[in-house]
Amino acid sequence: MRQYPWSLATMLLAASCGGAAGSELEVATADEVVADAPMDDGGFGDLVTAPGSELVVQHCIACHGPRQFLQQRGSRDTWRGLIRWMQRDHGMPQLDEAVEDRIVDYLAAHYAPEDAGRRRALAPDLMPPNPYAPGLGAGSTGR
Amino acid sequence: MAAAIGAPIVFGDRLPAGVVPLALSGGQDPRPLAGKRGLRVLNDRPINAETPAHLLDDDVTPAARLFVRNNGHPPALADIDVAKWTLEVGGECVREARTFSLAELKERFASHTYQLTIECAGNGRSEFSPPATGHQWTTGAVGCPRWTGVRLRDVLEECGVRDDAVYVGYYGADTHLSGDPGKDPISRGVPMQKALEDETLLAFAMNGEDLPLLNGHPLRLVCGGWPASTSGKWLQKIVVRDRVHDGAKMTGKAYRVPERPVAPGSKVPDEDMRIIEAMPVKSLVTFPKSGATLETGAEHEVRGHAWVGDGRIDAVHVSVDFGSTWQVAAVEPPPNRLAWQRWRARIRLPKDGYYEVWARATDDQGRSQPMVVPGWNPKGYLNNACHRIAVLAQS
Repeated sequence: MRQYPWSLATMLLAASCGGAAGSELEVATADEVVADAPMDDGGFGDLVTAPGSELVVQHCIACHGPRQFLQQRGSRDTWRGLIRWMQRDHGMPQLDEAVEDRIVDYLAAHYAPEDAGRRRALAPDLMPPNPYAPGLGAGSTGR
Repeated sequence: MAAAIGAPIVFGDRLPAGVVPLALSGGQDPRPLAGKRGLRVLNDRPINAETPAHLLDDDVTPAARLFVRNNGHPPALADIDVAKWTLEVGGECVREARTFSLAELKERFASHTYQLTIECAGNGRSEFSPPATGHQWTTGAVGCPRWTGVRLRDVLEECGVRDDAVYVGYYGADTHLSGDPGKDPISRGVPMQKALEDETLLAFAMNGEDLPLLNGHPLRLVCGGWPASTSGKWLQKIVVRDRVHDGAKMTGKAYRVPERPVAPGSKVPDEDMRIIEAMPVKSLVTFPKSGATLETGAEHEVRGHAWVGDGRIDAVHVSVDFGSTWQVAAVEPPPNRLAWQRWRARIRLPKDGYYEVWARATDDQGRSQPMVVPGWNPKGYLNNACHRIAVLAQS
């Protein structure tokens, strides 16, 4: 699965932040360094490159950043409903019908809801080392 | 630019100067989280970021650890002239519309300081299934700094409020994502009763310093215990209304939940939605950090905060065996009304293995936190399910 070069964003931001030595952003204890990267991907991953993604780039990132939708999941109805809401309340222009269909198809295919039940397991980044982690030998501490 | 992505970005002229669209990132400020440390960025345009639970361990939330939630773009620091900042007070139910400079507010009215909890109504949204649209907050859109300001009540009394006043609404200097100056990104408020409470402040300082830019500098409303969206930032205008305020994000489904419980995934018409007022009882485990390794058999302190919108926390219980047994935690009184309360407990993990520490707070009306995600609602608000952290016990 090919993805858009987000690393470019990181590089550009790193460059623009680089001159801020001694700023608040630079002050971090060792355990915060990872979380402190101001433009990590937030855990949402990159925009999936697939048919329709070029239309999403073209139509959906002028007003808000891509994380606005990368972190969301929805059916075709949900995604189309969001477009209608942005058009009604937030000044989004009408889309050509075929373009809108392709955008909705793309989002529903690659950002579809999954049934999470009433409570998920804790996120991987909140988990301790696992002595029984799959793929590790018996007795390993997992890290 | 167009060559890089093969087609022009529609409405690319709305992109703030300096943003590189292909990077799909950036914002109005090259350091969009200036003054913040350790926050997880949910969105960079508009900037939204939450605080990991273990970084909320302080009794009083430091400015660097307070979450950032925006519906629009904050004003640029360079565009804020504190000496010229004014607050306009108007609306149908004000007897005398007035405009105060920031200096006048500070001189004419007594200053008060309270520690007040503010929590985004969508904190915890990421756990709802089917998923709700909007920023997918986990647990970190909450904080409890010490705010200093003048009472909204004192200012309203000076202007005079008619008896038929129903609601107070706010307007701020943030701008709509579309760039349309005719649109407000957000303009919410509270009923008169909440507006006139002692603790409802027009705040100009946090923890003894100017407000951070991202949290409303130089002036904001603070309505502790209610959805943080009622605490308008970059405050320029207060209106006293003869009806429920109808500004941006007051109507439709925004900051509303169904007036009666609904099954997950229901389509609820707007007229059956009601405005969220006080936030529900909730707690966090802020120590240890989830993922820690603890010594088997030894005694360990676990601690955190508990809060509830308009009331007080009576008890916190902690479980290390998935809710099979619970032990009572010690709960400190709040420093003042509407502040979160510190809780502490000592746990022992009897043998090596994987444990989760669950915390469950109970308020002064006997309401406590559910173990699973509470009632589904279309916009994913008010998830006050118990907080869980995971630890490994190792000999």
